[in-house]
Amino acid sequence: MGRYLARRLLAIVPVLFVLSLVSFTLIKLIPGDPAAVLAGINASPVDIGVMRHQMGLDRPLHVQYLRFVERAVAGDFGRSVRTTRPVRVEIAQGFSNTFQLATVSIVLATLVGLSLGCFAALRRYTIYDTLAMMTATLGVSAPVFWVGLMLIVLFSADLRLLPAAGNVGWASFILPAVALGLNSSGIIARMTRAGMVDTLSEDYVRTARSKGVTETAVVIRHALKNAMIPAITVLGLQYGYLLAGAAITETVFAWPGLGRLMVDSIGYRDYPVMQAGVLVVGVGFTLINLLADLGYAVVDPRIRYG
Amino acid sequence: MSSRSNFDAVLKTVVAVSLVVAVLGFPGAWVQTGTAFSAQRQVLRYVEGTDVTPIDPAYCVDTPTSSIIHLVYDNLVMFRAPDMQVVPDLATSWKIGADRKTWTFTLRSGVRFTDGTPANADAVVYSIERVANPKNASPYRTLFDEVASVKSLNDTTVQIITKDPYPSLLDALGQVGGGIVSPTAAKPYEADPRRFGEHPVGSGPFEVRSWVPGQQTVLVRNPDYWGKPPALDEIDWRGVPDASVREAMVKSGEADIIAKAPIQDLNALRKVPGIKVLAESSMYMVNIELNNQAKPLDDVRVRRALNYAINKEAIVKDLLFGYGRVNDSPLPFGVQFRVALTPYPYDPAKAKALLAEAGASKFTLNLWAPHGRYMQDSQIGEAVANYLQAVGITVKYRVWEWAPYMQALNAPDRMALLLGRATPGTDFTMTRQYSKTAWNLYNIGLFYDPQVEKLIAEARIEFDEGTRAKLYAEAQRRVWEDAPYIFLDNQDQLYALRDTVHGFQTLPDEFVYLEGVHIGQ
Repeated sequence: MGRYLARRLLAIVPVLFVLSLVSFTLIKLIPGDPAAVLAGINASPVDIGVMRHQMGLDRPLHVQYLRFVERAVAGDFGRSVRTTRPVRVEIAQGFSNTFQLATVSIVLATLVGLSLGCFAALRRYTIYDTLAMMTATLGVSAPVFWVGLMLIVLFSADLRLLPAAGNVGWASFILPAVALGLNSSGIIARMTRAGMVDTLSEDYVRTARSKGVTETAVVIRHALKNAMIPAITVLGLQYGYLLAGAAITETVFAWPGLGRLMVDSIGYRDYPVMQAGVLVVGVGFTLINLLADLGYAVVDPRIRYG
Repeated sequence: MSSRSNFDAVLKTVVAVSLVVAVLGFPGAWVQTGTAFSAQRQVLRYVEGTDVTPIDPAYCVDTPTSSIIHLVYDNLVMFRAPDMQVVPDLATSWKIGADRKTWTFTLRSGVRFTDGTPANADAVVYSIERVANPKNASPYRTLFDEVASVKSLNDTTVQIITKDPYPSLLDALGQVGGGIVSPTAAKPYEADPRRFGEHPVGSGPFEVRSWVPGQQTVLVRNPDYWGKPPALDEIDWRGVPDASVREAMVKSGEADIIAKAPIQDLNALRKVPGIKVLAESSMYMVNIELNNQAKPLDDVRVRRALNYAINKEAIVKDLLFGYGRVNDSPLPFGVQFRVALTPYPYDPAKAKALLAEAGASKFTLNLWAPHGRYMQDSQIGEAVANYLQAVGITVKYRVWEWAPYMQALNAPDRMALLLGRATPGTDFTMTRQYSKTAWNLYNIGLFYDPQVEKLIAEARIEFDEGTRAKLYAEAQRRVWEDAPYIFLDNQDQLYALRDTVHGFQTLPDEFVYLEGVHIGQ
């Protein structure tokens, strides 16, 4: 297991390298000059030129890339063009807020999704199954910005129960987590149901029942673990996706997360933040997938890594 | 056996941890939304559409942050409501020498920055030089183009000598770029001056307690402020991008004031108990700036025809929901010496006739507009495109994202660009937009009329207000007849406030006077 972990962690390095190269090049291809955006509409071309020089944008591309890599390896991603704060600080703030929201969302989505999926599987082929899966489909199909706005209108503006925007305390997690988690819970529900239906028809389940084990125990202790393998795959992917910063939800709820940071940076052509952001998201995604793989080992004793 | 206990263990741990976190976090569940106002502390929650950028007079280019700059820093002089008149701020009085180029400003004595250092003449000199220094690449560098030298004669006297007689010096000093910073606080950042915004130090009615971009900026009352102390103890300033969400916040009481209230919901908002709506004229004028050197736009008949072809009243009524007015001057609303002229009426027949006369009945026009920068910008662009098609012009309409649009402003094949401008200061606006000296700088329309040029140059050095007024009036009339733009509209600035907020005022340049606000029943 230790060697496996070490191999997997080492494999992140080439991934990072390719990511940095690709993101650096692609970002430079986007039209729009950050020096001009920063200088504003009333600046003269001379001032914009000075700013370009200060930002190092007048050097040849490969020189810019090497400087970037040199500093990145030392942990210095430069300063945000938009806020002048170190990119490290911007990304850390964004990531921390997104991490909190994504984790709450995925926990919520998992609880709801697993329960719904199990419920549907236990009552498979009945009307309850159909209704449950319809709910799951609705969750997947509802556009997140609409759901978010509707939640805000109802719970903030009309009922005054919950805050509309920002990370201002644990109550402010509820609406964005529901909006974000809705999508994931639908997917997890469907995968869980599928896995459960398969598992419940297995021989060992029949054996457990005939041994006199209660239905609840059968479901939770025996069937669920195995049914969860496809769900874990999906969970991992969903969590990774959420960690990349659900930009739309974060914009609607003014959540100071990574997604919103990336969107704002793109609008501003804030290259340093964009480049660091892509790297962070890449690493995050890779680590999540690693966790998911490890999760299989927890759930299924047949799976061993060496 | 081991896998079962593994799994159970994981499950139990997760559940236990969540419960503990939820219970521990309960007391801090939610920041008070202040449905009842506290007599103890006056805290104003102000919500804008964008985040606060570095709070530095030399580098702030967005309007909302400019309001914060005015709250945190003093200038020598400031603009005041309601009509943008210039009044003393850090300077108590000034004298202009017989050569009309030497200005002597007397400063208030005993003023200190919030870091304790004196806000004296040296600080004024430092601040102005910081902006004017080309190495610092400040977007406001050209504000002080006319300044030949700035010196401190003693602690409370600043002498500014201009290159030519320049009555607009006061306009320059009152703008954001004229904010006075603490040299002690700014000096450590001289190698990278843009970083001063991380630790802003001024001498204004408020100081910055914390600035976390993306989350919130907290301003607190400056206890050592030399002027009338503001009633507010604290201002919590946040940026929430979605207008509907801002609306929800003011309705629920989570925000006391929201800026840029959604225009389509304003009439409904007015009827909500506990909320009042404020629609004030803004200096922002939105026009279609035409490339006066591109055929056939170089023919004044064609440019006038384009003006006759658009139903501007309809645009204001239907796209701006009445929150604006048809532009009736080349100068923005609220600027000194502005005269109201007659807008080109909607007359498509006349437009077609003029086009025929100029031999331009059928030509292709590139019409460009940004999206999301100004109120209803791309929608207005579309409407204009339709009106122009209706008089026989083939319109190639393109919507741009803001960052590439800024570069498109100087593209050689530009023909018609939708742009919003608001520059306080008559001379600045006339020079920037209508003078040949600003060709390929701000005068992207490449407009040039030798008569107008002469008038601008004369008015710029004329100290007598009556004469200046006449010169600018004539210049405006000529520019209006030359129709370098399709003149469109002046927008309103839209705010929604809770009933408990009193004393809220704004200026046409969208500077919000929070120092006069108090919260009460």
